[in-house]
Amino acid sequence: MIKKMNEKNTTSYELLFGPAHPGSGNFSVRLRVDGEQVTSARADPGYLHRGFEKLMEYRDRMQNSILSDRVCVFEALNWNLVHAEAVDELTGEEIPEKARYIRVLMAELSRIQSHLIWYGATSMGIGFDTGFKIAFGYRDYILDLFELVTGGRVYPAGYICPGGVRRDLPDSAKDKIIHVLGKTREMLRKCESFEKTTLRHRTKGVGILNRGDALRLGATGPIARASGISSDVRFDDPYEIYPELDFEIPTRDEGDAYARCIVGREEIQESIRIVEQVLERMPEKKLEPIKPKLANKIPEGEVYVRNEIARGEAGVYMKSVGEETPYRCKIRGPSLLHMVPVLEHLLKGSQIADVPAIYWSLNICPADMDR
Amino acid sequence: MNELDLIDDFDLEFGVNAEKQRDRRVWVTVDREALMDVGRFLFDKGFEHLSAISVTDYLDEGVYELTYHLWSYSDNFLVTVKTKISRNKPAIDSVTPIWGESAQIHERELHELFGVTFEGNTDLAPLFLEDWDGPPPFRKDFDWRKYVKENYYDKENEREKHYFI
Amino acid sequence: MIKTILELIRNLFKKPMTVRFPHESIEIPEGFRGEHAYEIDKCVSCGLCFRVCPNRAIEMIEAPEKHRDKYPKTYPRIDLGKCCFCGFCEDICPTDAVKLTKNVYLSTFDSKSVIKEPIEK
Repeated sequence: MIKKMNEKNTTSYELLFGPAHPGSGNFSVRLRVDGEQVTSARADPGYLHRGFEKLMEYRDRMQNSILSDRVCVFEALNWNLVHAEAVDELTGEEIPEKARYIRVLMAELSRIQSHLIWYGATSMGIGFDTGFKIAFGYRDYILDLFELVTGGRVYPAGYICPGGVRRDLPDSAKDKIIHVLGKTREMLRKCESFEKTTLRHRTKGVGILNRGDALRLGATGPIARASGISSDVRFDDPYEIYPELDFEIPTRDEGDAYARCIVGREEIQESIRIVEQVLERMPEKKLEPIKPKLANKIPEGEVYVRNEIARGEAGVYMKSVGEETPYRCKIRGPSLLHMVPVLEHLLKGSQIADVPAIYWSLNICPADMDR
Repeated sequence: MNELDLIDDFDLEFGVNAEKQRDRRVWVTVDREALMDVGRFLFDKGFEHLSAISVTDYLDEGVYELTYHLWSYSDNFLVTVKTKISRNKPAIDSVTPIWGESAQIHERELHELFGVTFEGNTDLAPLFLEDWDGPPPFRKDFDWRKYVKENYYDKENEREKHYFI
Repeated sequence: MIKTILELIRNLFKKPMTVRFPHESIEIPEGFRGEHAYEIDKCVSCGLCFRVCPNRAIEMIEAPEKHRDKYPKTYPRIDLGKCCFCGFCEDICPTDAVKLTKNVYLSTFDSKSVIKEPIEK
């Protein structure tokens, strides 16, 4: 783990943060340390590289839809949506109205759940275990919902698939969702009451990312919004039914780890608002389930689709030459930029004690970085 | 500035035809020599965010097609710049002088997965693959099924033997 | 500080969020994607499940020697170790011969027992 760099200079070390660090995920950072100061950091990804872009060239659209779950474990439904939209744009198929509402509903629930993990991981990183347990406990209520709607707790198995959704919302889902939203509000209240005594001390003024650096390093999503870049793909590049919904983009100017945590939590509130609106306007009509088909060709063309997922901007570039399988599918994960350039930039010059706070405040996911 | 203004600008500055695919999407194909000029021109127009770089491998034509997806935070639309390079000696100028570190990491990834050399990028160290000795794995002519079968699967294994049929 | 203490006191009088697992468990809703239930008598041996399976977990095999008179065609053998429980085999089956049940208790010490034969040997 620790290697002495120089025999004469006994305070200079190389320190490996991860991949066996609890909670770091399958990812490691090599830190050059001088005393308590980090002099340079080098990210070392690749522990989770599964080559999805290549695998997708061998599978048809429904099979790819399942594969897109796996891009990021914690945001399976959001990645489903990005992939489904890319194929939908190529085929030009009309999506039933109710399916469009269900898509947004599930994507927003998935966003809440992902932000809860973010809060939990950050709490654990700074040694606040209660926060970790609360967040993961309340996340389970949302997983119960996923189990009811999609048939799987974590992996929805391509629930949001090209052409709509794989099956209709069960009748009992609506009441359950309202119940879970209440629980999520309870969780937010708890977070707030712990705020001043715990989270703020460790994260305030730590890992400041200013606006210019955020642009240059390619930060997106909540990380960019905490640095004063007011951009949200749901607003700027609208997809699905987002233009019809009323919500705000929480933005902060400080750019430190605390601001990122606050933005994350405010986004949960906005997501709750969206879910409520979607439930209100959800059409009553029954929806035909979508079944997989063999020899289902994707029309020729190429598209680039962007989505706002919890961690930032997700993109899929899909090129089809008229076969069942896409000719090329490029997946753009937000974490690639957050985990390599942004993290390296923020860690340089920080204190060792601040490394976990910086690391987890970036809402990272090794899975969508390595793909 | 909207999509149509940019298409006119492209025509005036570089004499290339850009195409509006749908709202907020403009696609343009340029020569590889003109890529850096087009990049600087777009960066000055406000396309500060390099969303992704992608390579498509056209085996039959013997070319790699590079696509640069650029987003403008001020005008809210996306420009995709496409350019073609030879597949046998894939090399192109790096866009790191324009987009900085965010371009660097994308290029590093593509260098590893497709073997494209980005001239001017100072850091093209391996990113995902460790101790990799095969050809760049995302090329179309790399048969990963064969590679995996030869290197990892066991004919005697009950659960893997049907891959050999 | 006062807020935190109030929250702590409030939590003292709450039931735990967890369930005591082997003794009680949460109810699994209808439509869950768990272990497969396969009825060989309904099967028409079309091989659609084999072709749609994204992980190639299904293999069409012949029935054992003693059953071959009754079942002369090929039947799906499911490897649960490769299965991702997507439910495509259930969706595509024209006769509902393959169905996903609510059984989730699939962990095992024996790697051979994850292979589901279409008919007892």
